[in-house]
Amino acid sequence: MALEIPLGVRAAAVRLSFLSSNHVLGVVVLGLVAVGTLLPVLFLLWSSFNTAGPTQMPSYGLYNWHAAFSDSRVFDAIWMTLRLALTRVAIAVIAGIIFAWLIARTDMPAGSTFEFLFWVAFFTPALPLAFGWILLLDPDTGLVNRWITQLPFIDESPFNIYSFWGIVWLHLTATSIPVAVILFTPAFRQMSAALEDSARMCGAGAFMTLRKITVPLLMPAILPATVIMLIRSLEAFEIELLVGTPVGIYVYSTRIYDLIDESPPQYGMATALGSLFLITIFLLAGFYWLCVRGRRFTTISGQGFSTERTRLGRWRWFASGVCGLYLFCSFGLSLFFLVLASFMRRFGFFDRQHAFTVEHWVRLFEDPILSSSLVNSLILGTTSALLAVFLFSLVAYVIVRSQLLGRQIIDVIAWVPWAIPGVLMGLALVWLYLQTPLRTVLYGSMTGLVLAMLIKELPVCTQLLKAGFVRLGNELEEAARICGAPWMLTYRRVVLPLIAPVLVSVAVLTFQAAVRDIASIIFLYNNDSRPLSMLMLEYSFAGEMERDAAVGILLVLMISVMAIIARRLGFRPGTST
Amino acid sequence: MNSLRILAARWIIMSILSLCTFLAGQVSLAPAATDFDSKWKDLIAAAQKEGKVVLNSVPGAEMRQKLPSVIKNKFGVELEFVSVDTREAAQRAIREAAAGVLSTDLISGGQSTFVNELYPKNMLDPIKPLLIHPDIQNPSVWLKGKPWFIDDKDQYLLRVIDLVVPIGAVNAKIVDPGIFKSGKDLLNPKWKGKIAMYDPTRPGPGSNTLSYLMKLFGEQYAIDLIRGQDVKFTRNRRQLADWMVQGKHPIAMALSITEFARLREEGFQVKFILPDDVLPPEGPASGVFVLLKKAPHPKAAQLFLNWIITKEGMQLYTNLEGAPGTRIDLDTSKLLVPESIPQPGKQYFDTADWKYMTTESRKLFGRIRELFGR
Repeated sequence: MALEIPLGVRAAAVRLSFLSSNHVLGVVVLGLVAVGTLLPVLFLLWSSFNTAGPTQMPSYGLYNWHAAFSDSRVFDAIWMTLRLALTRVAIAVIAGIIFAWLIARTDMPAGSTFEFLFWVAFFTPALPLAFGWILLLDPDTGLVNRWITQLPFIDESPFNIYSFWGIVWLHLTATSIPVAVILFTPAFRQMSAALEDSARMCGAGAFMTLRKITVPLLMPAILPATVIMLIRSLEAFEIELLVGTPVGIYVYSTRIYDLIDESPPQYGMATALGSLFLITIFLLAGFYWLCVRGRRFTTISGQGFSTERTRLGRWRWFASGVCGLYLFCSFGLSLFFLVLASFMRRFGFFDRQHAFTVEHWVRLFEDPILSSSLVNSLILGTTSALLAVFLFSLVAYVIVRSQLLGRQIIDVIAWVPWAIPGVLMGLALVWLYLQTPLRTVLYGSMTGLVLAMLIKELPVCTQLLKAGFVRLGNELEEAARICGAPWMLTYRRVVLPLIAPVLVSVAVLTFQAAVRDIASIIFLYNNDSRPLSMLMLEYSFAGEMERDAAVGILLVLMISVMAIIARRLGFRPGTST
Repeated sequence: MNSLRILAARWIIMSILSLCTFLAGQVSLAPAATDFDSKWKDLIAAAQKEGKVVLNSVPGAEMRQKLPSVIKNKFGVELEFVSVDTREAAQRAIREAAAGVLSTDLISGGQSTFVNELYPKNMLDPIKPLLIHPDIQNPSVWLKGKPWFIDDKDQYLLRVIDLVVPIGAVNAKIVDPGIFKSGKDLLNPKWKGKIAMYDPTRPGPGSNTLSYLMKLFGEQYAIDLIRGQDVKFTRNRRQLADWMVQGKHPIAMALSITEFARLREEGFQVKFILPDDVLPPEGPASGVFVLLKKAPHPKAAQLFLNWIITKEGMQLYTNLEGAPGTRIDLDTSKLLVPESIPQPGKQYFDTADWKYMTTESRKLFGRIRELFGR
């Protein structure tokens, strides 16, 4: 007769075990998170009250706040930002759930390939792609519009990239839908099919099972991912600058960027405006907590793991066709634009003599700083990814499994680095680095850049890993401990392998963020630590979009190779745990 | 016979006097040349000891690739070329100086940031006293008779470029630039929706151009132009150039000279708009150098500054920038935009004029933001 131990007792046993042997580790981990996240933000908030210039004696007051929010245009920008963000996040979440479900939970053909392509789509730099879509959808000169208006009965261009929906479309194809698929798929994959099997046995169809069983069970993964996407959407401004400015569409981040780009820069006012993100993020974090509190979401336990996928029957090829068509229209065209741009004398001008050339590639490889930038990016990406997996898995584990005092507060604080736009975070870090005795170690060095990336990526990585741990039952850890395994061995040999797909996602996301990020490191790098993303920015500033595209291809290749290596090492995104 | 003797005697005396004068000249010049050579060698040695000079400059891949290798080969000194926007370069210097970890020696870029930010904050060292090259004494090689400094003290902001900056450019396949006899011809209703401009509500080329037009024709002109002609703004200079050559907006105002030169190199028919009643503006583009106070490599910076004002240095610099320099003995035959070379005897409006920049231009910019800020 099996001895039944109540679930609450077993959980407490695991927590107590962790608490007794690793209390100090837990305190250190949480302390590091608190210092790493709060210090730059508090520093930034404090400086928002400083009304003096950078070389003057500090003088404190509310002038910056008053000036920032007394501009009525700010409220128009907030409204536009919310409309844009909510629209594209709503579409991206629905599309992301469907694509992730098709890839991870059904027998749709080529699901693993599609998943990989979504990753590569996410890696592709947005700006050359935006130019590509302008080439197709400009209301006056866009190729698609020209073709369509040649049809009978169609006199006006049906598409206009310089519009609200143009901006939404650019974001959906470049980042929103790919990132939704990337964030949702590991969660779908980690779920045992037992409950879905039960639903099917009770007569529920595939989509009813998705709606009633799968999605509610995966709420701990879907909610933070949605919050992450929403915050990212609020922060976006590059695409808005390109296609919004000509038609008077301004967003909140544009206002912040404008203040930083003033001569002299209005850092205090920019920070005051940026603080609105801080309030938003705490509201969203609170909403998330309300949604998941008091509920259990265990999908991986010691009671067996069914990997049975939903059979789509004759719809499987249709589903595959829809996925393929979407990827062709978004990623396929995107990649095509990127490659085309790098081989055209001037992108978009096909009727020129000698329209195609390899000159941009030749000149890129002649650039003496290309090799050092490439090496710097590899070091930055790899170091950040490895440290992120190691450190943030501990942070998430401590938050989910321990009973340390204040862990819930740390859980909320972990969102803070995303509570302010990247460019402001970059400023906070540079000010902080320069104020510490470690300034010569951190400022301008690779160490400083890695630290900046770790702080910046803490929220997304911790939330993803937390979602992984929440879905992990205690039974397997408990079994290992009963067999005499110490906590660290259990963590390394049992816990981490079980959440391997999430770890891979975290590693690849951090790697790609580190090699692509501009805002967080633009103030921190110097000639010796310049990564490839800064070289790309330089070409972009100089209007050399073709060489910019060539660097973009190198970046995509680099991140794709990293993802392939991750798959080869055994953490195959297409494999169930 | 007697007269012949007198002539011969005079000739001998004159020859002796000439020889004496020549020798005296040689004697007086020789120490100067020797003095410079010695100072120059000492300067090179001191710069080599420092090892490198750090220059923050506006992004330009050709400049970043070629200039460091020339400096390295010529003087054995590393030129660390950091491509960064002038405003960010200035802020970087301010932050670093406040923390006592200044990494940059020199910044080159547009004049506005230097005039509005670094100069008033007393962050610059004078360049003029550091110039030891004999060329600075030779007025015949300089456009202004001497190296051109644009600050009121005539020694901090060294200008090495002087080019004609048109108020706009056109796609000549669609628009005949000769139509614009007056600046007011831009207000012709047939150009409604056809004009684009670099966003004039931001510091930069758009605000410079519109400020100048507003100064010339008044505020109502600016309103009629921007609102009446439905001028489209962009903050992407590549987009502005693309719109013009695509024909979407065939008139591009405040187009950068670099973009213009690139379009011409690529074979597009593009031309300047130079109305008769608009005194052509001239400016230094991004060709102004400043030396930061407490620069970490002062000797290497001095060496670089002395080299950049030589014929060799300025020729290379202006070739890479694609713009004419402030020396008049440079070869400008390879410039892609000959219209950008100021003509001798012709009058121009200097947009980098100290008084204009520090007073009128600021007021005009403020008004532009009030009128057109969105």
